[in-house]
Amino acid sequence: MTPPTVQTAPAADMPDRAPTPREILRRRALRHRGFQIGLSILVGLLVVALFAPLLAPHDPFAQTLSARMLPPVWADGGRWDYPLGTDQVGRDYLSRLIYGARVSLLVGFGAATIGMVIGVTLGVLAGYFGGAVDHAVNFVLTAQLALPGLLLAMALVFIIGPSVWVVIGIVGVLHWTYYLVVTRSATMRLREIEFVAAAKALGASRRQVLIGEILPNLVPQILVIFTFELGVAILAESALSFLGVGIQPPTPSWGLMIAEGKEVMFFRPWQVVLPGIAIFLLVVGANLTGDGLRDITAPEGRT
Amino acid sequence: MAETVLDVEALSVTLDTPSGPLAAVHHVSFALERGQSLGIVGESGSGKSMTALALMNLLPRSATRQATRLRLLDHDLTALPDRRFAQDLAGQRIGMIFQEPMTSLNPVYTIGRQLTEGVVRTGQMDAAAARRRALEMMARVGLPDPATRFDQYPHQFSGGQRQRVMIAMALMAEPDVIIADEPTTALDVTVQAQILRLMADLQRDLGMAMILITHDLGVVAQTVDRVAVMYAGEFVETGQVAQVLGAPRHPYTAALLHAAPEPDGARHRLAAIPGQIRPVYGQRSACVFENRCAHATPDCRAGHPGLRAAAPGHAYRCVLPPQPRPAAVQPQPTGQPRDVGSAPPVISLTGVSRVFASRATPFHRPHSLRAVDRVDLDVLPGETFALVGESGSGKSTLARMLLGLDTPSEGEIRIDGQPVSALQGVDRARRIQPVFQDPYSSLNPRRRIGEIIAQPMALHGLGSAAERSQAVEEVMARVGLPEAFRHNYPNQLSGGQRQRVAIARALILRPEILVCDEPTSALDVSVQAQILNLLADLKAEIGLTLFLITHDIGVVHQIADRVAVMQAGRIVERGPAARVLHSPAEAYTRTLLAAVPSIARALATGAQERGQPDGH
Amino acid sequence: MLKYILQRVALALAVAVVLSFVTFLLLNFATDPAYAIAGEDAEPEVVEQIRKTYGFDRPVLVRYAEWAGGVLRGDFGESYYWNKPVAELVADRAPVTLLLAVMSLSVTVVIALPLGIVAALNPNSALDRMALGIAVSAQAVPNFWLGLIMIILFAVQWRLLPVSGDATLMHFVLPSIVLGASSVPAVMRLTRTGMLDVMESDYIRTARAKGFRGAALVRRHALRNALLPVISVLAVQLGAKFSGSVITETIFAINGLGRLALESILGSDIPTVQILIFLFAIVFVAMNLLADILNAALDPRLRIA
Repeated sequence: MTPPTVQTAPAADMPDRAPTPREILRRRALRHRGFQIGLSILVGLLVVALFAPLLAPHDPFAQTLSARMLPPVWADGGRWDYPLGTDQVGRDYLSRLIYGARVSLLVGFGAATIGMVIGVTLGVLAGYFGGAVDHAVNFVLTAQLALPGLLLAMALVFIIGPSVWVVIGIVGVLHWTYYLVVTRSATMRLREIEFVAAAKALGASRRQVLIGEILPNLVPQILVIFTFELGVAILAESALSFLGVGIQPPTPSWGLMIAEGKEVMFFRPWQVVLPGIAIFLLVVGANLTGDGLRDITAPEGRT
Repeated sequence: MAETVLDVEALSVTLDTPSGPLAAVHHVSFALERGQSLGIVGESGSGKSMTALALMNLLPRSATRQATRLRLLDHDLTALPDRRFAQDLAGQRIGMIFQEPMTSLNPVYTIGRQLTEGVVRTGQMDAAAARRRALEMMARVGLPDPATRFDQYPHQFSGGQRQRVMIAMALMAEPDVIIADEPTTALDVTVQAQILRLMADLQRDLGMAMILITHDLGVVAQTVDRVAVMYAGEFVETGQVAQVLGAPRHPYTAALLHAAPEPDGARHRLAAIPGQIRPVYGQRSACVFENRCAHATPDCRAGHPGLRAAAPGHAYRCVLPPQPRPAAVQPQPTGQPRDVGSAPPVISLTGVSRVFASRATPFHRPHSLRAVDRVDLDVLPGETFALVGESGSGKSTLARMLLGLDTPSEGEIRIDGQPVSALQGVDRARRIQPVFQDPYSSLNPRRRIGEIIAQPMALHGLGSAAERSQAVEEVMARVGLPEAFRHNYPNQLSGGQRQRVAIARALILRPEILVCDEPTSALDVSVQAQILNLLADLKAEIGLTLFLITHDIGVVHQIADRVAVMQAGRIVERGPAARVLHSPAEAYTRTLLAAVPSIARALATGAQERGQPDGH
Repeated sequence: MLKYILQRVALALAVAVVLSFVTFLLLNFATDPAYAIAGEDAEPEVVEQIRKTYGFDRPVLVRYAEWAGGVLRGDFGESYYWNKPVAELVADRAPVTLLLAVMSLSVTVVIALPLGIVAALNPNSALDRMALGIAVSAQAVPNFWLGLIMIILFAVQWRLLPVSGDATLMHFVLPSIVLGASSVPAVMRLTRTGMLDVMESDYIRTARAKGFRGAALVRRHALRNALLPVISVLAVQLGAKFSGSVITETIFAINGLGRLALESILGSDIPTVQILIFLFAIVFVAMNLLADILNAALDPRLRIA
């Protein structure tokens, strides 16, 4: 049937050119100083990690016995060819720091991704189906929260045998609860929102509802958690490596470098201070990005 | 002449917004005498709540208040520091009742403590006296068993009871002025009637002055003496209720009256007000209503109109000569219900129940709730069938079952003769489509309007891209949405526009039936009129069957052919809308109808009770 | 209320049982304890002998039942590494860790609560921004690194506090600050958002309409509501302190459970590691239960159903 056009009062004038959601995001991002700083740090260190071979002045593994225990350039006896000095076996500290970014970021992104897959899957299922599924997931969550994460990670890494991949896997598998808690409650809320009911009434399948309606609305929150978990995973890796049950020598890892520097920290404190600052910067970058993302993607009040 | 308790002259509130200073309230003036009541009526965004908050020193941080005079009794509020206002006046000489009784009481403290702490704090009473007074007030506002309930917590009270607590609390110190901001909007209509009556009684008995803020002309008409109509931050018309609502002089007041469906009288087409409130930044150099006014002339843009007197005590802001009442009251196109009686029903419910049961666990006894209780119902093709009930009556559960979002525990629902359970996906979607209450949440904020409207086709893989685009264009034209909107996002549209999008989405598969669950209750009156007219048109011109779920008798009166009244899961009365609304057979229906605030009824009884307005 | 508590207790018990099982399985499947005792390059016959002696050749469920039964009786098994009953080891080391946990939680509370409240009461002020800065920094500092820096500064550079050890209460000052700092961001942020939400709530508006302002408004109307969720987080953080003690105790050479855990892991001492993981988890579960009960006592919506 092709019915005649109904003569109805038109739906009023065009709204004042209200911004699209993307424009709102861009506008808020441009006003958010913390977000800009955080993202710059994160992207900057990502670039450093990617182009490490081009940026590092020396091979991070090369031991130059003639240049052992050099202080940084600003201290007495410092040399410009080793700007941050060398360690006990004569490896260039700057190069090792630059390569250390690779390990941290690899573990960070890898573990945060594993956690995301586990947490979001469980969270969405529990939130959407509720009932017995929710109870079961909730039980698993309570149990996981109770387990002492660091201790378990140490034990498991030590038992399985330490390597970058084992560290990524263990840290990832132990850090999914935050994703779960947030996506679960967000899904519960979304499930009751009318556009989801509308999609169901329009005949959408369960899959279409979950993937087409619910998941896209979770993306901002998932991204925010991802940036925080990135920082958490980086810290976890550095702690494991520091304790000797993480990344193994001679791979340059910031946590490991602090452990190595600890032996000489009263005489050459920069060997402890510098990698610590590197970790701090990277994690601050991730957290500021996360805080910023949360502010930027916060739902607007109705206008 | 009675003592003036509140004297306001040129009160303005400016909000600091990213787009510049927004004049939320502009040069509002009024005086209130002891025992007098003033209603401030306006749509959302009119500034009515800001006015109340400004009087109570409760403005948000981003707002600033100016006034040439702001006197409460003999206190000059413009010069009084907030500390002093809080110390000496707030809660004592001027009290306030808020809209949301469910959240306005602190959940972790007892009602008794919250009632008494105000008077105890200021040393007006000691704890024992305050308790006696609280018990007295609880009894006065109609809370049974005050002595027990004194020690209970807010979550142990119903919404209506909490609003009674709020009233009792505001009255503890016997204030001279009481401000009620939408005190009954969150409540069911029968509870609303009780609360309004209680407030009117208390105000009269205690000789207080009262400001009642509401969007509902009917509430104003039956509760207060004087009324101010507010629009875009200013009082556009003020006067006695009978003057303003009986003989409106401002085009906005008149338009508002014609946009509101009245449960009494003959059904006519609602006069929707096009457009929406335009926020005013900076100077006012024209009439604020000019862009939506049917009578606007170039004069309206020449300057900001001043107040003109229509009669003693009756003033308005408009430069135009008094308009004749719009004679062109159009009849509502009804599109005769086709073949009523002969055609088979499109929706048929037999013995439908929905029982919500909690399973037994070691810690809980199982309990069950019959939300819908053995309902039989037939809806005929081409009719508008309204299901009316208060909150908790089961009407929304019924709607969910119709849409396949929930399944009956007992009984059967058939659509076009086929059980709903047998209709899957696209088959069901082609027959029956939903329009939900809240146009803010019924559209996925991450999709463009065009995508949203085309979603039913996309979900079922119907049509090519070009065909979908064509269909979207057609259906947008049908519901009166400019085609240019298809690339916008929901947040860029107004509430009324969004509801049109929801209707367009529901229509794109050309279903026979639209299930509208409170389709206008989230909208302002002027926008509601647009949507009701649209629904009536759609029904008349393409023969849609409308299944309307609502708590609003005015809406029922406006577009329903037949109506069923639901209470506690059961249908207590049903029949042709005109018959049920005008000569209800059941007691509950009568209570429900009597509770609906009506302007006409209020003006009629008001004229008898009050006599002629005493101009002074 | 009783019903609510019983429900919580039942859940906690169920979680404890599952945790004990998981801990046992994880560590018993992941390694062959016989090899751990005999050493990596031991002769197969020796390993087989050890397997028989310790009973590792029996089905895992039987061994779990035996282990769990022992735990219930207070028999935590024998440590391969220390050659002592695990229960004895734990009893020796627990008081130190408990002291450290309580002291560090106090540090957290003393810093995070006032900061969070003040920040929320003055949103976007310089104070608020400072609080946020502290939270962001504390969240990003590697705990072990902070410890080393503190040692360098306070113990070596300025000689204000002892470098390491657990002889006197002074020895616990630095470790408590380091361990306490790690919980500051979470607790402060939660306090701040909780307080902000409450201050914007309708019931605070009601109280303001009654004339309450300033300190009286916060104390009489906002504090309890805002701090209810903080209780749960504090309990969780106290539980987390035990796990966190691994790093702090190692750095400051404190002979507590955390250091015992690291040493046992490096010594492949499965029975000790197993018990410690289980114990820390139980402490956490117990703390959660305590928080639930406290919440119920303070929140009438839970207390009176």
